[in-house]
Amino acid sequence: MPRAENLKEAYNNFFVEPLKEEDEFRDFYVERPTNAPSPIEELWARIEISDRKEKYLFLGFRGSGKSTELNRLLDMIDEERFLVVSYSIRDELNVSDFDFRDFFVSMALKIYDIAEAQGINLERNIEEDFKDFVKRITKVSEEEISRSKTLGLSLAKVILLKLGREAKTREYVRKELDTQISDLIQRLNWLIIDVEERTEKCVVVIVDDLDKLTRGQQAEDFFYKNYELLIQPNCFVVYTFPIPLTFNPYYENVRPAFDDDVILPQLPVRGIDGSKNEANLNFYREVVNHRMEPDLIDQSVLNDAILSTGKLHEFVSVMKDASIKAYRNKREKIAKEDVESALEKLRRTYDRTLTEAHKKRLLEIHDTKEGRDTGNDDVTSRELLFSLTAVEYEDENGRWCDVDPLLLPLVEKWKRSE
Amino acid sequence: MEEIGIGDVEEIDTIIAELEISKGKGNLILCVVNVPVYRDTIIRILETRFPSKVIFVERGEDIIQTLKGEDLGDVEILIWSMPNKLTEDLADTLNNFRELFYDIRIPNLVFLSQSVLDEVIRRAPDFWRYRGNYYELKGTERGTTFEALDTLATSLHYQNKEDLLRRKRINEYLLEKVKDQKETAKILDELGEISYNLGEYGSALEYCKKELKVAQEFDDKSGVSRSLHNLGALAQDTGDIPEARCLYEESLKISQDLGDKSGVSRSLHQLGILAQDAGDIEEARCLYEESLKISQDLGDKSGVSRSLHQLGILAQDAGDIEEARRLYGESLKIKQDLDDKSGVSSSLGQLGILAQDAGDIEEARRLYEESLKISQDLGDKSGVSRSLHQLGILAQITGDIDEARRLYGESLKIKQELGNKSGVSRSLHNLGALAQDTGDIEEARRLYEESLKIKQEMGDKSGVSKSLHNLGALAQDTGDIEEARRLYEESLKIKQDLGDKSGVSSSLHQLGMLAQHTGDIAEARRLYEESLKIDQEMGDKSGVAITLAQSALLEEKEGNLVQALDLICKAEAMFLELKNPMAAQARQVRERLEQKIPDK
Repeated sequence: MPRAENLKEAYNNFFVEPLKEEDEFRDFYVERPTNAPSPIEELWARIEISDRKEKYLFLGFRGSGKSTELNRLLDMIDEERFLVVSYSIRDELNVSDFDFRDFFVSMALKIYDIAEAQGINLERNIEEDFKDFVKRITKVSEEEISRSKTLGLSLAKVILLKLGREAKTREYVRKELDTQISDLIQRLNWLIIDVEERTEKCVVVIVDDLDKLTRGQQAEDFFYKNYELLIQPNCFVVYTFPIPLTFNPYYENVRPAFDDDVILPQLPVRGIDGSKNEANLNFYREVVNHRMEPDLIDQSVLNDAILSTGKLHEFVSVMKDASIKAYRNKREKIAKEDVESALEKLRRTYDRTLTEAHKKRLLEIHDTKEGRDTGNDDVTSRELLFSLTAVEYEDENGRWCDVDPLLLPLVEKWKRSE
Repeated sequence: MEEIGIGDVEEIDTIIAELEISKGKGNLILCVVNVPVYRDTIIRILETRFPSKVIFVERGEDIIQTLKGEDLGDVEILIWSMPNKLTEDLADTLNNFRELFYDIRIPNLVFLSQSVLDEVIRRAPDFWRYRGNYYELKGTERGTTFEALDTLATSLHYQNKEDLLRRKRINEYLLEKVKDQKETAKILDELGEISYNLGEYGSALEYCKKELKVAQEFDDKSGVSRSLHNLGALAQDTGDIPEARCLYEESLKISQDLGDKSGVSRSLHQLGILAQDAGDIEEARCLYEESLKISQDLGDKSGVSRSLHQLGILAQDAGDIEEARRLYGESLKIKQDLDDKSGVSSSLGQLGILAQDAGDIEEARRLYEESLKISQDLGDKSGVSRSLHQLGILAQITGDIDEARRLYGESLKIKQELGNKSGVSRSLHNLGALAQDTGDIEEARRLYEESLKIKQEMGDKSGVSKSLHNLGALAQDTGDIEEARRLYEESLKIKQDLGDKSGVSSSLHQLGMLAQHTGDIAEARRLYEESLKIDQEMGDKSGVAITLAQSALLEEKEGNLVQALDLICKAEAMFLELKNPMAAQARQVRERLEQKIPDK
């Protein structure tokens, strides 16, 4: 992935998807600053040395680089000792209609699928029992499976497709598992034991995008009502966790059930007092420098883009938008107005989504640097953090909140209209 | 031939008296008998007393033709035997042609089951209102099986026996592979439960002991509690009740210390079953209710369904049929939702017993057969043996003695294989009753005694007291009054030790009857009074009224007519208050006494 030498290449290099391939990591990955390193190395070390099948929560705001870090973890884990089952619930299930029962079915199917794909001969009774069980709880017929086989779809893929796409299948599975969830988890554990026995490797499951559950209530139901189930699989599991849920007081009840909660912090571009954080600014500059030649943007313009976003995903997205604008304007490099135009477009979009209550709370957050809700019924701050219009940072001053830097120009407007 | 139940002797005498005085009048007398063989016995007795015509009714037309068209010659009474179901045609006939019974000028005695009577009251109300007297005959004790729902430390869901056997193979395989001790304990636990469900108690015991050892080795208190509980269930099933109690209590203590509410709930449940088996009903109710409350708080539907089942048995035992039906129904619904097939089978069995008690033989058979089919599919030997036992009872009460013997024998064989002592003792008891029905008194005694011996070995005091009571009744029927007295007294002693007040009262009553029979009137009086006192303390109005009536008859015989009249007036008032049909008999005695005392 060569560094972009012109705006067309720059546009293509500013992709917002997580880094995945080896060359993407080699060319684009930027080490986090030493005062806020990625926690993924520590997580990797824990998995490598732990005798217990630990369960971890991996926290971070959307767009802070979690998926990229999980992909690094995948790369770091020793394939000789571990069998990694990594998947995104967004790819396999329906995140707008999702619950814990679908999730455990997906986990069991992914493990079964990988065993099948890798030619692992499972113990016959365990395999037959598992197949009978999933067919029974999903009501998928033998004919459907045979038909799909001719199309090259495995049992696991057929069922996952139905689970992701058909509301009727989800409804049926949930009804069945309402009373048999422990039976499913038992079968999941049988699969894990057998796969580990036959491969002489430990199973590690990495579940991405659980933090993207579209409704807050859905996320709370999944993590808070069912956390005891989440620790039952008899293998290492890394669950991505929606950071807004940590603002719910119940988080402190749930957290100790897991072996660790690993946080990937946002890197603030300014301190709590408004002063610039040069180490973090450099990180963002390096992100750009890895992807395009430095002379494709003036440093002052780049600084403005960084200071106006302060979130990795948003920053890369603004840079991409600015690249295309500059390219269309037939410029040689990204100009201030290209960045301004990209920022303004994004700003207007956010502004439209905010209610008066949201704006009022954002002003409070800006003044106090605190993002707490007033009680269990109050979800305003959580909604703002979920939509990233409020951002939580962690630096040497501890954890603090502020309005998304992109929206700071609107703060005065909101104050006036109060 | 079926023996007449002790409690029914007086009733039958009254029926005979009523038929005697009704000669030449078309009186309509209803008599509820649920057991067909018992009904036939009573009919035979009546046939020896009166020139009779017996009509086994199938259609309404049978009634109309007999009453309108037939020449009845010198028939003195008409005996009607109603079918098991009240068809629409029959209900209409009873309602619309009720006058025909009176027009014929011959007394009519109509036999019907409890369930048909309930239908008559609802669907043939005009006929019901037209009746004269009304009797309920109970028959002899059948030793109905009440199926306690044991709760093991964990509960397995499985589709059928094949499924269970596959799980067994999986766990056996995993046991060799797994190195983690906690996992090993879990696998041993499941293997224990699978063996238990398959009726392989020996293997189950081995697995549970191994689980206990592993759990103790790595100080897994929860595992220790779980295996102690399961060992308790095994001890209970093989009749070692003191050991079972000890193990449950030990398990309970650990669960309480761990704050494991689910474990506490399951131990309380099992201790409830032990209390119930020992006849300590109040203690059992307390324990079940406590267990139910915990299960409800935990949202443990399976636990809730088990507690409701047990409370249903208590209600059924106490004669509160509607409450029992409600509780069984509620429990069944949860089990169906949970796809708990084994539990569903047990509920169907209990509902079958309710249907059987109400005389709805066909419904009972349907329910027992459905329950049997599920147990067979699940490979649940214990469930199969229970259903066979119940179907044996049905065969017995419908007069198919050979079939009853075959079914009891099959059930007994499975229970012996399972080492299920309590089940074996029940089968022996019923085979004894069968021998008694066929007049083989010696065989009946042998079987009852064998059953008694097992109950004694098991320490099942309540069961022992009941067996002794039955043996007493057998001795009384064969005229061996001294032996009867010895057995009743022994039974009484145990009931007193257990605090089984209702049982004590019943024994005292029987001893009173023996004393009265041998002319020891003072002793009879003392015993009746003692029985009466207990019934009064317990608020058992029905018991009080019966004893008052019995005392009135005694005083009448002794010539103490004024005292007898006073007693029977009290009894009649109580029967009327209770809307008990015996009020009519009490009225007859009162009227007789009033005639004997001119100034009254």
